[in-house]
Amino acid sequence: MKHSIKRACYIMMGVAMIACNSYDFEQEQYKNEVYLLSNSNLIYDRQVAELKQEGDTIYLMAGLSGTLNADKPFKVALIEADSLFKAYNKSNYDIETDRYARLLPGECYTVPSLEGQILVGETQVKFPVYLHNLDKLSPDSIYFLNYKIDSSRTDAFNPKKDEVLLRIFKENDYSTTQRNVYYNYTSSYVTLLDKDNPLVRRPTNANQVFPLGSNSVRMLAGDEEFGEYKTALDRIIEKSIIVTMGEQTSKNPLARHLTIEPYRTIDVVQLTPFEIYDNTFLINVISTPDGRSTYYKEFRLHYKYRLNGSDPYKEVKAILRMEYSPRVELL
Amino acid sequence: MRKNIILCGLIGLLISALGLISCAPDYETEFEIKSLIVPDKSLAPVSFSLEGGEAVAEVETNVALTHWSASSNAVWLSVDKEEGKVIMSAGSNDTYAPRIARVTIEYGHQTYYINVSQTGKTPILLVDGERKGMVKSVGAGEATISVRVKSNIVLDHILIPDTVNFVHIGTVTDVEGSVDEKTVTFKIDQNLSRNARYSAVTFQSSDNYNHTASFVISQAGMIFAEIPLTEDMLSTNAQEPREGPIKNLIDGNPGTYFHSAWSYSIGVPHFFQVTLNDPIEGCIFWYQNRNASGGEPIDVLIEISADGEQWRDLTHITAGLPTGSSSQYESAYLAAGSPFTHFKFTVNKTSSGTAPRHFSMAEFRMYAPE
Repeated sequence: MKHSIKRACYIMMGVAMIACNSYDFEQEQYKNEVYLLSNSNLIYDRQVAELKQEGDTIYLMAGLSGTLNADKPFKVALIEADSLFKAYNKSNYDIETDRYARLLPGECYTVPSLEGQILVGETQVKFPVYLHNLDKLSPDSIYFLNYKIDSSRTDAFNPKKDEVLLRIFKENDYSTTQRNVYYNYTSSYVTLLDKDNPLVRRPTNANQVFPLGSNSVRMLAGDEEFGEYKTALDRIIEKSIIVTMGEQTSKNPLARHLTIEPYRTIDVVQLTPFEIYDNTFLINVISTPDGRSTYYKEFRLHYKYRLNGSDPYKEVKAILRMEYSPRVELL
Repeated sequence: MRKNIILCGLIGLLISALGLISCAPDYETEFEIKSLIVPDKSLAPVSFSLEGGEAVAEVETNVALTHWSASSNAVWLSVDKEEGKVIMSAGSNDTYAPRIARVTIEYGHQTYYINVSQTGKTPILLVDGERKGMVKSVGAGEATISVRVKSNIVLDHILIPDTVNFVHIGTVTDVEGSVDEKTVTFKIDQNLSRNARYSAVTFQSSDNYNHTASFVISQAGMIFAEIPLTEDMLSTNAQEPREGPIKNLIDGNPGTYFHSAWSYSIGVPHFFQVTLNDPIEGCIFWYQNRNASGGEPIDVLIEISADGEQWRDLTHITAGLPTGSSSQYESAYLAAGSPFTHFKFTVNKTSSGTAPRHFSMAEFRMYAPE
């Protein structure tokens, strides 16, 4: 009996020892593979370039997947491509070729290097893209850079994330192409300067403002409308003005002088300041007695315009206002 | 027994001592609340005179001087901070407009704003001694007027409304012996209508756009006299023989009418003509349609001649002619530029059809400038 018990103990110990044999857990872990950061549509659209004279920098990101950090560096090499760009246009616009997105012109960017390395212990490498001359880009068009992984010069990579469309957005202090920016007409007048038909309108609608250069924006003149944006190119060309911000005024450091010019064909004449319509861009801080403040960006405009040379001018006295939060803009 | 009592006492003392020690805090931290307060009286807006000066805002704080800040958002206003106060300094304002600034005093999330303003030099801008309300009256003819503008600011904008096309800026000249006065002349076109017309003229300066001066130009309307027409001055190429003799045009009775030929055809547009006794250089014509519908002119060519042979177009009216029963029409002043004695009213189209086609009319008059 004693021997039987001893034997059973030995057998159980033996089984226990076998059970402790090592198991290849690595086969259950995610592999280390290089990928290009993008959303589910293979577009990376989370960066906005600031419109500055000296240009701005955005980054193309290559990441390294895997459950564990790699124990060796990973080489990453990129090459320019156009397959994803073409697929984007075909799938989104098909035969509407005039609405096709555009590749960013060569004069607008510089990529110093298309080769990098994800170092041991790190999970990404950034490829800087230096952007300049962005004021030459139309705010109505979509611009991309298209890059893909060079398979011959890159270590293991994910073939489903080996190409990316880098969306180019631009912004200045007044607007951005990343989203639609509207300023609302407040206390505004549009008067037809025709003594036989002196029609006065009080616009209360919103005017979409597009960034052009570091200090300039485009907007529709007066109470004009461009209808459906998808088909509005001709109307935008016909009815838009450019507002360019200049120096701080001597009266109020929160105000800047501005000039009003035609965008293309419109006949527009900037008039002299009149009361609150003093041709300035103003950061208007409206404070309540309890100390809270509301912040507005305001275009205060006085100009006249006409779409046809034979028409009477329309005089515009307008305040275009957008509420904003200075703290959020600093983020 | 005694030993036990002493032992128990010592143990009791030991436990008490331990209890006291255990009640002491594990660590001690000095929580000193840092705060910065600008009293309400120091937050009141500050107003500097033209010459500038200094103003002080009190600051109640236990924060080290180097750890809180005070700043101005305007170049003209400097800010210095000292223990317990902020000193705001402004130089003299050499401009002709008031200016504003904002001082920010902050420590961490505590921020205080003080609004500051400074008056500017007093601008002067007077037109013939007045800023507003002066009226310059002129007659209907071409004219030149001048006003004397007194100003200590640059006079760089003279504004005439877009809706006024009869006032033109002439010359701007310095007034001899006066450094702050200018003479500004305006040319006024002839008023070719019966109605008086008006124009505001505004003077504005880039030194202070809000300080304007203005005056009003009032131009009288033209005075017209009716030309007495007689039957022998009227003629037509298409008199209807059965009704509507041409003399009815000037009989003063809107119930009678002239009618051109409908009972025969002449193959050319119908007209009537006025031969004046004295030459005129322009006129207004007036007519009234007959008190029945049909045959009202809607396309009329007005021709004039000095000799009845060489004709030229004075105007061609294709819109705005009335078609209602007994409706009336008065033309604008029609300037010929040279004297004429013959006036022809040719109807190219009526409300009933295109010429050659008969038309009718109840009354007709002509007016010439006095």
